[in-house]
Amino acid sequence: MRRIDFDRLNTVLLDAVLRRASLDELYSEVSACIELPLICFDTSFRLVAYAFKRPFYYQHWDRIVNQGRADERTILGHKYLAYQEMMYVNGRSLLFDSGTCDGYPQACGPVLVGGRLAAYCGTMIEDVLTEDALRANDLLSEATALLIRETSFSGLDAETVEKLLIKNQLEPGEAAKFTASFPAPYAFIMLSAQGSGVSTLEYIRGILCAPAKRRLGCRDAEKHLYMLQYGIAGDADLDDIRAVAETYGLCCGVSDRFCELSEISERRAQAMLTLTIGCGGEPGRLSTFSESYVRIVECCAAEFYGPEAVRHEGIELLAAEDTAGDGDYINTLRCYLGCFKRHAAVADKLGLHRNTVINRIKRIESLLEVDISGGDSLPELQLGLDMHELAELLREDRHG
Amino acid sequence: MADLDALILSCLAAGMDIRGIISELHDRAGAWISLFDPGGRAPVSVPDSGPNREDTDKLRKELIEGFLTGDKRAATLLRDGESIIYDADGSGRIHVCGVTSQHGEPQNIVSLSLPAEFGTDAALALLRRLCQLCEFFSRSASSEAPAREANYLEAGLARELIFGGGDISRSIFGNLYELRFDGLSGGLEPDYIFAVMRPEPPGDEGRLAALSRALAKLLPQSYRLGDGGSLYAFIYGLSEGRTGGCLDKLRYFCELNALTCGVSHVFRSLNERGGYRKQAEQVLKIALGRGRKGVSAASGLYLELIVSGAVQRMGKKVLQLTEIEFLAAYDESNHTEYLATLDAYLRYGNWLSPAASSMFIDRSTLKYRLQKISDLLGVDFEDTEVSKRLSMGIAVHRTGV
Repeated sequence: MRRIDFDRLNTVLLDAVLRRASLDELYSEVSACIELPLICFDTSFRLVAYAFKRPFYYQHWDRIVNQGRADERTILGHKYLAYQEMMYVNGRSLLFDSGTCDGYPQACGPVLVGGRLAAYCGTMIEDVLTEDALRANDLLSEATALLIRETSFSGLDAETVEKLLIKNQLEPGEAAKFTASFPAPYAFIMLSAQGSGVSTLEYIRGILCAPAKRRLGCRDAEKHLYMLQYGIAGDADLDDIRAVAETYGLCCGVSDRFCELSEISERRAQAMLTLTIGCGGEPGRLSTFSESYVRIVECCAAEFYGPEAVRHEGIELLAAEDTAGDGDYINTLRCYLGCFKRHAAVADKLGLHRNTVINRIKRIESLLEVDISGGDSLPELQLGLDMHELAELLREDRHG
Repeated sequence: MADLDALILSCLAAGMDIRGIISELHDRAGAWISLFDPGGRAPVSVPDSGPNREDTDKLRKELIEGFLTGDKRAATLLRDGESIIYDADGSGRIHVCGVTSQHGEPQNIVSLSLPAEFGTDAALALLRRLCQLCEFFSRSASSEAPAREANYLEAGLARELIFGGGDISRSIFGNLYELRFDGLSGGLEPDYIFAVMRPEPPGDEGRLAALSRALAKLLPQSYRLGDGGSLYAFIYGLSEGRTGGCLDKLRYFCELNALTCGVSHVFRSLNERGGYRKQAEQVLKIALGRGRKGVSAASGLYLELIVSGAVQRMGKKVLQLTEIEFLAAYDESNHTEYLATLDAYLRYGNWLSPAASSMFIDRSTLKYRLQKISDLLGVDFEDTEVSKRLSMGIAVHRTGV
């Protein structure tokens, strides 16, 4: 097996970086130097640069070059993301010679720009020693990162996005500039990783934050993807996020719409609350703040007071009567309030005679000492019923 | 000792305060004296630095930790009120320690260190004098003593019951509960409620202590503490219909003393007490925000209570609903009453007539306004989920806590 001349390779890499060569130039010069095929694509599997003659014998690389990217079906079908996650976790180039790489051994590694995963690069090993190929690919990855930093091929300033979405450090001048480029109304969107890994999150960010999508995004550690949707026109703007959440089994929380960037930390809290309470840990679910609003307020209150202290005394009295076997009052009251106090609708829904409903409501009124039919207590009773349900759920949780 | 008595007498005659007398004792007899309480309130130490101050800090820590872990010496001092001799090692000094009152309200722990040549008897005699001096100055002080219970055990338990939370047997001062009731099984009899009372202006320590003592006479089955200008009361033994009587007494007490009072729901589990204390605090805040006097109960303010708790937890800005804030802003710039109209309609369960009557407007006016609101927000009020959301949003918008 052949050895790589690293002195020559280092000279080629340094020359390219110092003269700010394009990535295409870098890859073709390095390929000429080490006489091996090379490829680089971003976290969304969009082609960044390559150096090999086509049609290429390894169809996965050839297809990326042909289409300008890998399509989602291939990515999911061939588990590309699992390979990319291995590279990211390792932090350096790895040898891949099984699965889709069976018979095509290659050295592949992550390209980290300022610690952020920006792309992946690969070297087809062919006739050189594996250890040399791995070392050469690491050097290529470093040079790629330097040139990406110089040329910012993604068109987005990741640091500014992080400052806005995570750190709340955007200066007023920067905010004004930002608003001019990315107009209101906004929504803060948070996707949870659900243990799927950084490469998956970065891949999804690439899909959801593509230029035409009117979104900016960044990753918070390895757990969440934060995104700001700008220039929202309607609910249809969220359709692709809903589809991605479903496909990848991720939870997604969306804040209320807003117009002031200064509110971003509150809107981030809204998205987080929606993610944790609205989605309820159900994979593949997207929930908006307004959809989950009532439950969010209720859960915040339950967290503040504790699950027992949020119970409504009257509703608990009804629950006790129900337990004693007399009435089904809780269900009747819930249905009565849900049907806006229309006896006939309640009778229809519960399969009861109208007079039975009327009598039950009268009994409930006497137990609660409240005029439900004519009074203004509906929101309070509805809340009491919700809190009863929530307290019972929390109690069940506590008792395992 | 006779010399020291003469010295103390002459100091008193010269109008010296306790700090001055202690300084004299230090100068003339080489006594190191410290007065402090277990809560760590600004101690008086003469000399105020060096070994005496270090000894005082060490002693205070040892006593509290010892008391909580059942150390006999600490219990002798703090529970039985008897003087103790401590750390009489080779330092060439005698150290003794006492409390200023055996059965009344304890004011201070007194620590005295004298050169060894004085002997233990003289040290104990001077310690007694110092305790008497403290009581003398305490009685003649113009301000009342802070609100405390009859002894440190009761005071510690009051603090745990009122400001603690969760499983009482696992809490920091939970062993006080076991000590007091000789095991958890014989504890405080349920049911319980919390009451938080606030004078206007907020009471100082003396006023709260006086209120605490007065309330103890009215509601002997209670633990009370003053904090942050308010008087907290944990009331127990309210089973078998005793709640009504307790509330009547609270109303009487609050009217008599011009207090605003928030009262929690009745509860049965001590482990939940933290949440019910917060209830009483929030009810008080809501009542104060509305300028209400007298007693306000959690049961009469349920919606506001839940919403104010959520707002307290997350901040109002996070929980504001864009639709409602938009409507409020629209009202302000267009001098309309859409928010109040929507509120009335939702409160009456989407029934036009009672909602219109409550606003003193015609049904058709109400219908017209609702149509406008629906157009502005692009929502359907007849959808139960939407009406619940908007109701909650209005409650959050209106909460002042």
